[in-house]
Amino acid sequence: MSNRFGLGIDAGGTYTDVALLDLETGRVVVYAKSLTTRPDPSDGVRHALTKISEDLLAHVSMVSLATTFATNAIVEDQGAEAGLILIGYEEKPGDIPESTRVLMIEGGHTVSGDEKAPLDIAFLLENLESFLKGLEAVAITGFFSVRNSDHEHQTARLIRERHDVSIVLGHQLSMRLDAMKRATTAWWNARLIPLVRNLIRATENVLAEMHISAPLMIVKGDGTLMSVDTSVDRPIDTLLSGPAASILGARFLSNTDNALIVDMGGTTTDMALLVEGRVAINPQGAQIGKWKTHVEAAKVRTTGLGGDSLISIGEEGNLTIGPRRVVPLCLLAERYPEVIDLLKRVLQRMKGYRRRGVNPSSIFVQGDSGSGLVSEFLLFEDPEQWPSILAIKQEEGNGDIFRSALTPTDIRVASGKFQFGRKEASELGLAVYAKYTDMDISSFQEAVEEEICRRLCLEAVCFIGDTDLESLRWVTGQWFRKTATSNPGIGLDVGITMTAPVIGAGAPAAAYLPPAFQKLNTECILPEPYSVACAIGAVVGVVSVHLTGEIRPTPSGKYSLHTPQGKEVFDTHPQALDRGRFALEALAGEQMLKNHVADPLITFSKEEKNVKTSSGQEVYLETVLHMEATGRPNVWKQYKKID
Amino acid sequence: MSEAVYSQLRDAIIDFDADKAKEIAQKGVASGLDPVEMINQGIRQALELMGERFSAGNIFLPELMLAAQAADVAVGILEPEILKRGGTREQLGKVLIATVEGDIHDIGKNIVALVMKAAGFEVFDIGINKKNKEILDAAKKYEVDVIGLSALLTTTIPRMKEFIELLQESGLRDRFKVMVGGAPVTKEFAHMIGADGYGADAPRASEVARRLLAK
Repeated sequence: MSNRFGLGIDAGGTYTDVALLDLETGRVVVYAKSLTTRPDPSDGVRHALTKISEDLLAHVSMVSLATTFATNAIVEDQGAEAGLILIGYEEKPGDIPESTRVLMIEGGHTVSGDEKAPLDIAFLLENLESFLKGLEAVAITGFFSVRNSDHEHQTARLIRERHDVSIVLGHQLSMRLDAMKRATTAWWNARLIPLVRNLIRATENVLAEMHISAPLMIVKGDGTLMSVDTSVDRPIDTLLSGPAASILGARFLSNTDNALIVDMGGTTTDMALLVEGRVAINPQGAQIGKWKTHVEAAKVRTTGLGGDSLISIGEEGNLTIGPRRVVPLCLLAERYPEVIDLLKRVLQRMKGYRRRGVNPSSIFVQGDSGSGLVSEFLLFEDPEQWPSILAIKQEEGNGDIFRSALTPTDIRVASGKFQFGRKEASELGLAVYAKYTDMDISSFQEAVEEEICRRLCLEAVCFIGDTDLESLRWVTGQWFRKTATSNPGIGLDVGITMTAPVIGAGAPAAAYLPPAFQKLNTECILPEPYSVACAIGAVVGVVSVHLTGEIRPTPSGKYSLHTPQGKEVFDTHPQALDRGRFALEALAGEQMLKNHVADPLITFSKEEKNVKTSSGQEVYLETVLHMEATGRPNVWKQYKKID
Repeated sequence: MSEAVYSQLRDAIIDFDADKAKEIAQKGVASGLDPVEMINQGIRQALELMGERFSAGNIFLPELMLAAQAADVAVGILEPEILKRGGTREQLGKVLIATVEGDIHDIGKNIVALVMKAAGFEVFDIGINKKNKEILDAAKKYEVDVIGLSALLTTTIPRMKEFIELLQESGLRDRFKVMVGGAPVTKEFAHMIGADGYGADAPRASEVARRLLAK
């Protein structure tokens, strides 16, 4: 057997998936799942890999990692201590916290790349020492640095000559306008550098333990790949890489080019679009929580609904699923068998529904020993215990103890559709809930399934229709009510039809997606092994670099060229064009090499922007240059099945 | 009685008779008519009619300007009355208007300013030959909704594109609606540089601004 397997790793939210793909035939050889570990996800990778035979792992020639690590770090506001140097800014971005060390210096450029003011080097050097104290990384960004990067480079050089600190330059992450977003993007990139570097080192160590010597690639938020060396400089490019890899995996497995991809995991459901075989990119740049960035990433709609979502009854008696993630009862009982007796006691004491906001199936687990298994319902039965309930909920908020409760996963396990953990625990949890809500077991089960279905449909309609839930409330209200009428036999039916198929991914997909999307009158494809689509998508990605430049007329009748390398002025347009093309091609080649692609396919294109005035005179506005390079990492060029 | 006054006011504006418009406005106020209604039913309707005639080529630019001036005089009488009664004149929005750097043409800009003011916008006309940075600073200072840029030269219209780029770079593109106009400017140009609106003439510019703010 030759070395020919690609190993895809999805270190995701709840589960870490690994998949081995035969790079010659495109066949999925084997896959495995394990719980994701925190704070170090590499343990989860190790657990998952131990489930695959060493003989197979010996034939891995490339490894590719998709991870939500950076996304989570931003959501949870974790990152290294990073400072921000703003050159020629009038104000700092509103979303950068007050506590962040920011140095504002004179300088920056104008729209045409001329100096707005000279760089205040004296001020920089005077303040540098105190500014850098205790910082692990620095982000430097200048006003209009995308038109002239000179001040960013000068500042970086002055710092490098004096200090050893990670430096991020704004224009290198994005050539798009918007100095505020550029600052946010660069600052977060700086914060992520030490974190992602550690993650990659840990993952490389795990691979070494498993005797896998193949190079590691990292998936970017647009589904393409980068080398470890690149990712250490640009960790922010991994934002949303999980959903992006799922899209590519779903495409690979289904051979479909236009579809809505719905990846239902343990914690969340992510929706994204596959358009003409490509990942649909968010034109505004990735947004994670309140943070707006310039990162090229998949357009994703995320909702807190997954297999391990908490099922609860709201104050008004309404059934709610998510957004909190808990441990399914069946899984908890596998580790702590005494859960069964505890649930039996709850069932005995249960006398029906009370409007107290108590979750009848909740069990809190204190410490690792499991000695402190506590039922929320039983605590509530005893008024003397009420103060401890508050304390427990607080500890849960702090992450000191965790909660297990009835989840959609338990519903599937109880119904026998899915074998996972201890079925008896799921059945008991379901029985508890049925009694609590005064429904029979199958009705409660149906109610949960219908609610999941409703949520999925609404999310899909909002996502594809590019609108929010509120503006759709009326229509969908009618829609779900179906034949609302006072005349039996004659009703009104409102329907919504999706014009592309849905491709499902993630473990709970089979249970919930087909009925949900039947409601949208479309087909739901579940290509095997859809539960690990993301890990497969990690392997099938290509390396791709897209660089842009601009040529603009100057008031003196010359032509200025703006590329990531800086600004240059030429007498004629062809001169500027030649130089621009050359500069971008060299840069693209260099970047591809850094990403292990020796002979990329490079395509150059230009958009000439001329416009006619009302008198018919032609006015030259600008030329936008695009250099696109794609290729596969050298290690597995022989693989031809995808494309 | 009130409809008769509105009708007289309309006629005065259509006849470009500023003195008469002033006199009727004063008479209306003295007889206790609502100044807000006089603007809405009288002045605005007359201006809309003149705008349509101008856009259709039935009247010429000087006539449109004279009508707008007559309207402006009448509004000058009515506006203080509205404030005196504790009311506010219904404002369509705040508009900043300027001719771009290197361009000293102001007739077109002035007409647009006048027509938009008469239509119910609060207009800040900061003049000609204004650097993009000055325009942006003024827009921030007056907290306007719409920025209108004027240029008459093919050599100065690139400043309009640069202004939008300055807004983008400053992270303020979503805060303002940008409209462009002037003899060489076309709809295609406005679209290409990413402007929100374009008016072929003053009445249409006013209408486009109204639509942009209604969104």
